[in-house]
Amino acid sequence: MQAYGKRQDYRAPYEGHRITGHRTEPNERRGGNGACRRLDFASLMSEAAVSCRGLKKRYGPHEALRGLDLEVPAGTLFGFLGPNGAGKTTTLRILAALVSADAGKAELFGVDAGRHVRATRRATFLIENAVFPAHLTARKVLKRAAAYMKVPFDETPLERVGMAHARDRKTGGYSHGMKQRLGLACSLLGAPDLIILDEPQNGLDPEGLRTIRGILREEHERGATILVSVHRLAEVEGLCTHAAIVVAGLVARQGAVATLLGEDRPRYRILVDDQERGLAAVQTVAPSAATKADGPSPRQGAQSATMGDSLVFDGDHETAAAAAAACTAAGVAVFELAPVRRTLDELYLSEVTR
Amino acid sequence: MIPARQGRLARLANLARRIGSRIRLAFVGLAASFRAELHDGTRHPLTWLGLTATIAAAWVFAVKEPVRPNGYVVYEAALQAASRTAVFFLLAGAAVTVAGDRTRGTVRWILPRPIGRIGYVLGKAMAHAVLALVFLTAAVGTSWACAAPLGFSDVVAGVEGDEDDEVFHFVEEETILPEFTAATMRRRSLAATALVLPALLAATGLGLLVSCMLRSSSAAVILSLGVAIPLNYLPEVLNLNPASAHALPFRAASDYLARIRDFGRNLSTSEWPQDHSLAIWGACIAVLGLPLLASLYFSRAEITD
Repeated sequence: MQAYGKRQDYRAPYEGHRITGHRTEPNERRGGNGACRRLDFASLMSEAAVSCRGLKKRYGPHEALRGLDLEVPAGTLFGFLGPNGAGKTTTLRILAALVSADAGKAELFGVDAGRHVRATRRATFLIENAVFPAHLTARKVLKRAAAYMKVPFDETPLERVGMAHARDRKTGGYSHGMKQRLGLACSLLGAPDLIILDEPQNGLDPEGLRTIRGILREEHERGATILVSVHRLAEVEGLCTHAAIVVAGLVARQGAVATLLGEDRPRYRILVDDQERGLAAVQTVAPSAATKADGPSPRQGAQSATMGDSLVFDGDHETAAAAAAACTAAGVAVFELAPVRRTLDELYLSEVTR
Repeated sequence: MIPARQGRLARLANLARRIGSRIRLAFVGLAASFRAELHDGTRHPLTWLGLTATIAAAWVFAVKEPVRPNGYVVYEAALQAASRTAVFFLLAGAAVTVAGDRTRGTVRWILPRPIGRIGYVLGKAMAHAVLALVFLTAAVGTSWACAAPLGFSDVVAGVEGDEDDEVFHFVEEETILPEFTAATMRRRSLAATALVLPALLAATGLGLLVSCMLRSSSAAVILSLGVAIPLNYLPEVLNLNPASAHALPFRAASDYLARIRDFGRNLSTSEWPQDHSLAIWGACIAVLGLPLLASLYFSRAEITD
């Protein structure tokens, strides 16, 4: 745990490295092309919005976290994945100072979240299902949240989440989805630098899901860091720039989604009629070439039986073209040449079932 | 020498700054918590029910007072009944605050904001102190309204029964005892009125402490009442001076004004009870200590609903 006595230690990262500049120059930070996947992550890695080191938490006999390490770079849209009971919500609860860790350190922008109130000053949270005082209207809930956060009251978040029509209704009569939307509206107050959402899509209709996706994109483009716990892998793959997979209280994999899926290391699959000769030919241009290690899919298996065997190798499209040419020159027929793209589903299942 | 002294001073200044920073951070959000709790408290059914019951109790007991020779007597009887009722509702109202937030799940919504846990609880304590003042005002106002038509003058009174029996029956007699002159009675009634407040605040603090310890609001109400009632017999069990009972929640309500009458009698002859300092300290500890204890307990509590 961080020693409280070292005040300079916790003040310096918090007060000296504000990232408000991200808000004013989002295009410059994104490289000006507007594509979320093409962020200049190296510049953003200078400050971690969320940093967990060796987090441990035990609930009676159950060990929820077993030394979890997590690093959420500032300015990223970070997907937090894992099966039920893996420790996602416990981690988010520790970050929100709702529970304390048995060991380890959890920091928000360099400030110990469990010890200092000001750690949460730049962050907003929506932990699990949103619950509000039933006797308050949505407008009053937002007003109260603004008072707690000492930010100016603004009704814009209600309009953004599509709740403007119900602003004067008491939240006691709200549906689950409406409460989730209102919770999201509260977490948008004051243009926070960090938004932590725990399964915000629970109970939302398709239109609500689309609204949330849009809001998360907008907030990310504004420069906010978003840590979102989700179960829909397709959402993460299409929305998040970074992700972490938590399994049994430990982070199994984390990093940029593109890196996790191997997009930075293009891989190709080539279907040939003679595996041995084909392998020898391909290895002349791509030494990493090998027979398909993880086995063909049923459809691919049928193809193999009739059309040939598949080989996989790492390399760019030029290497792929050279490999095809090498096979042709060696007298090996090439039936198919295609890039291999791992999906998050595959990655997730491989980590979870490991 | 000079650099060493400077070094010590610098260290001391640094320590003071650190402590100050810690205290300042602990109280972050106190005002917001106070405003929110006051808003909710003034709209809570328990508050309105309690106020109605307090006012009703004052009227009922004023009517029930068998002998009413004077406004002061009726005032004290009505105030005793009203404060007893007020303590009950204030205790229950304080018990459902933090535990209620936990039961509803709203604590998960409040605490991740930049708000200190001590500030959160003390803000609630302050709001309930304001509500206690409102209850006191209602009790005093109603008691005065009951007593005013009878007039506040010298009480022509005598005491029936054993002197140790502390039960006063005022009957019309020729004699005016010195302790029942109008001036003495006024001072006594003012002292009684002023000293009801610590009892109400102590009840609030006790309710808040229990509320911080439990997750269910109904359990908090039951436990706070279950603690408060036996606690009232503590002075007898520990053989303490009855003055020490002044800060105890229910004892304060049920037995308080009888003790105040003793005080009033001593006030008239400038003789306070020997252990009055114990009562004052007890009241201070109960009023200030219980909310602080609640906030310190809550700062270590986890929200695992």
